Amino acid sequence: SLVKLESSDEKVFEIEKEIACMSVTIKNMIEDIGESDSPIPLPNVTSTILEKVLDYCRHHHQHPSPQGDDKKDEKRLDDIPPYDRDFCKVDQPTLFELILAANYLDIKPLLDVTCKTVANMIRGKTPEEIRKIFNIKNDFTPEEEEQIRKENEWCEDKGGN
Amino acid sequence: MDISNLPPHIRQQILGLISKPQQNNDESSSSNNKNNLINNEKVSNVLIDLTSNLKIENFKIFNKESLNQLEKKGYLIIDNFLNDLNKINLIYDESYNQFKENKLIEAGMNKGTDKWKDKSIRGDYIQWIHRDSNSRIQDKDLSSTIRNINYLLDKLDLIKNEFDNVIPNFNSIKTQTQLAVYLNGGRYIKHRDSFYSSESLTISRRITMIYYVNKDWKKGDGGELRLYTNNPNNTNQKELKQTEEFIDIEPIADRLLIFLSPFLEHEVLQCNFEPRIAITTWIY
Repeated sequence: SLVKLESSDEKVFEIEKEIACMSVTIKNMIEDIGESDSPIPLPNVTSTILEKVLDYCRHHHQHPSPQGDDKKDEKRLDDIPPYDRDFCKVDQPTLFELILAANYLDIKPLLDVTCKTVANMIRGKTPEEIRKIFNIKNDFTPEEEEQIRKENEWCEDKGGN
Repeated sequence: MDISNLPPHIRQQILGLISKPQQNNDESSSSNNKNNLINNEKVSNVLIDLTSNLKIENFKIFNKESLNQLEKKGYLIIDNFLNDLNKINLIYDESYNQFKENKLIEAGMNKGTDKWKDKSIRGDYIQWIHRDSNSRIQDKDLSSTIRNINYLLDKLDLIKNEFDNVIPNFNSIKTQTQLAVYLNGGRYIKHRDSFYSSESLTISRRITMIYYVNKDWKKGDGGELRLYTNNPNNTNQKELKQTEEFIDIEPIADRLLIFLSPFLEHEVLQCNFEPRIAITTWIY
């Protein structure tokens, strides 16, 4: 059966219930209100993002991950499957909106993979590079920065002699 | 949009992902089981080339053979580095005075809180000596009390310059210097100084240079630097299985030990004397 979802900008999407229920939030809503013809409102998700999220759900519904994958180390950063990797190749605002949508809709695999993508953007970078990537203004004075560096020196002090 | 706008639990999830070291599928975890070893990541996946297309006309300190040894064996020992007894004594006094005036802090480790300040793992007291790009010590008060240490650091800078001048694409990024004092009973268990990977080229230590000033050191005093001679930087040696062979380097005065930070494992054996003084400069 099909369910209707309504984005914040009042666009209505029709999708198979089984796929929609990959979102725990939607699943709970359907259980609460019962089957109904009126669309389920998702006031926190725009149509652009909802469309992408539904693409993701459709793909993973058609290509369920092989058994045993769940046991994989969730914290590994280098095991993002090709589809998911491509899926996350979006501009930063979109990526962050996907994270927020995955969080709101409670779609754990999507939340995991988007978070991993952000983590990969940060890992191994210098503070300056991270600031550049995320467009974060460095509002420390040189003195403050020196102070912070000094306070964090223990992070670097491996290396006995 | 930036990270700080994400809900706290998501920020935490992202940061949790970063704090975990990467592992290779094919890496056995056997070495992780040993107690009392710092779990030392995987071996670096980038080699350090010190011998290709050298500009030999720029050699002032080293020669082809010494760089070849540093690349292939992974270490070099230079005795009588300053060859100036007066300077050595002054460096010793300056170092020990820094300790006696409580300028040094207990060294910790950046590998999780459980090993933090565990004296059975690492028992040294350290002080960072920051120099600016003009080789001047940043802290004015400090600067006036360690003039002779600064002289040593100038000499170590010449070594860095030599690498830059002779080895194409060496391109050192910065140096970092630490004064370390071990007291009786102090030690530092086996570890490597850095992990050098293709992803972190800009932020890794490549060369470790340790200068010792322990003028009264004699056999039985302990505190030797046990250097494990397995050197994954030597591609000829790559096929060989890992050996646990080591050499013990006596921390005698005016000895400079140079080795490849990401490749050579080492430990400081327990000291039966004090103070054991070492000044280390890392080239990034």
